[in-house]
Amino acid sequence: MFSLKLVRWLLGYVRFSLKGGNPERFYNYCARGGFALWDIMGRRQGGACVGARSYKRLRRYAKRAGCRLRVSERHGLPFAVLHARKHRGIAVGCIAFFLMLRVLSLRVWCVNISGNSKIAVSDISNALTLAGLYPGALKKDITAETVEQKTMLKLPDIGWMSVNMRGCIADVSVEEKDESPKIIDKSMPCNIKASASGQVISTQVGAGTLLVKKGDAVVKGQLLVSSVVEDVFGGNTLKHASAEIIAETSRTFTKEINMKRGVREPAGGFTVMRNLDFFGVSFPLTFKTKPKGDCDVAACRKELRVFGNLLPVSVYEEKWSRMSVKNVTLTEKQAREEAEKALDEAESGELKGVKVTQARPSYRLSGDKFIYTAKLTCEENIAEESGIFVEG
Amino acid sequence: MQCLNMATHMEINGNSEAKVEGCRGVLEYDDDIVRIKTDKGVVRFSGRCLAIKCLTADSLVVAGSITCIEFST
Repeated sequence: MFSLKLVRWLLGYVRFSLKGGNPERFYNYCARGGFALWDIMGRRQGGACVGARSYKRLRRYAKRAGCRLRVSERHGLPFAVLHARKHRGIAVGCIAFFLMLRVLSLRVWCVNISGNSKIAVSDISNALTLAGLYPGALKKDITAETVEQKTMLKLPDIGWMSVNMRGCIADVSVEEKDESPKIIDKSMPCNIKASASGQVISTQVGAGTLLVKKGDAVVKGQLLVSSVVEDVFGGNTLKHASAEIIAETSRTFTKEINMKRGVREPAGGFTVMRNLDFFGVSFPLTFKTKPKGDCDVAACRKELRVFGNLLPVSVYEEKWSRMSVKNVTLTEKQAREEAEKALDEAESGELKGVKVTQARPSYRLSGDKFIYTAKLTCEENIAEESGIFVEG
Repeated sequence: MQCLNMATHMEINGNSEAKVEGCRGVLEYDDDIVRIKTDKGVVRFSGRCLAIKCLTADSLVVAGSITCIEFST
């Protein structure tokens, strides 16, 4: 039934009304003439539906039956097209729509990158662009395997990746490489020496002969664990010594801070520059230029998403703020806070693995400089491998 | 149902639809009566809201609430 309705709609049909004469005779003439009628109304209302092409040929039968025909409704594609002819804009719009749909469907709309944690999305995106995968690229030019190989060569930290085209969306899944552990050549004999002076707190030996004990004071470079191991028969064997020697050490942290300094701060006034990115092509939305002088820039990209899918349309905005340098003099409190912050950073940076048990800070002023000194008492592993040259 | 002669064939779907093949024309058509001519006689459908859904040279479909079908020569 649906197919019949579809065919009727595609070919077009009219509903006509019938007045006067003998409707039954008219219907019989039409049927004998080979014209199929449907939805035929009774004598009171009079009328039926017929194919658009057949309607004109029914007039002679109407005349013979003494009836008057009048079209009451027109349906179907031919009439829709005829209607559209009067509104050329609609027709042009439809053609443009399908043309754009066709053209745009040939290209990559967006690239979704997932699975990365250490490698920045921008780095992967740049590598993919160099490999030929970017918003706006022709889909037929993209070979997933080639893109994968080229990207992995550019970014050696990627262990595995896959590129899947889902319509106009490229899904890129990335698996990062796990860091391989440092290989220790245990076949080479070595001693353990002290990396810093201090007092031994605890010892833990994996291999070798321990030469110090808890409470001993050691100096930097002192032999702590010997690689020579004597067996029960009195024979000596050279081993790759390994040990953890925790000692209490002393360190000095010094930070010099200039009390007088130039601080950059907003001078007021800014310039906003916007670009519309469409399929990787940028169109300027503002015609302002970058302001002269010292400026700070903050950039952001507003991306358009529909049902979670990134579209190849985005607005890139740069906000250029004018800056000026103002001379300020820090107070002692501010300088001390800055120095303490630097000490905290050092503890999580260069002093990583070192446990600071006590800190005795002191400071002095030397001209415009604030000199902060902290004497640190630390607990750290002072075991340091020292290779042995073996002849033969 | 085969009726009147071998050239006329009629199918009735409940009391709501009747397909007639081998009809020779419509004699009378109204909301409560549809009379059609066949080779050997006349078939009269009585009922309410009767309508000819489709009409071709040798067949038609009568739809509506059919209460009576009469055959006469």
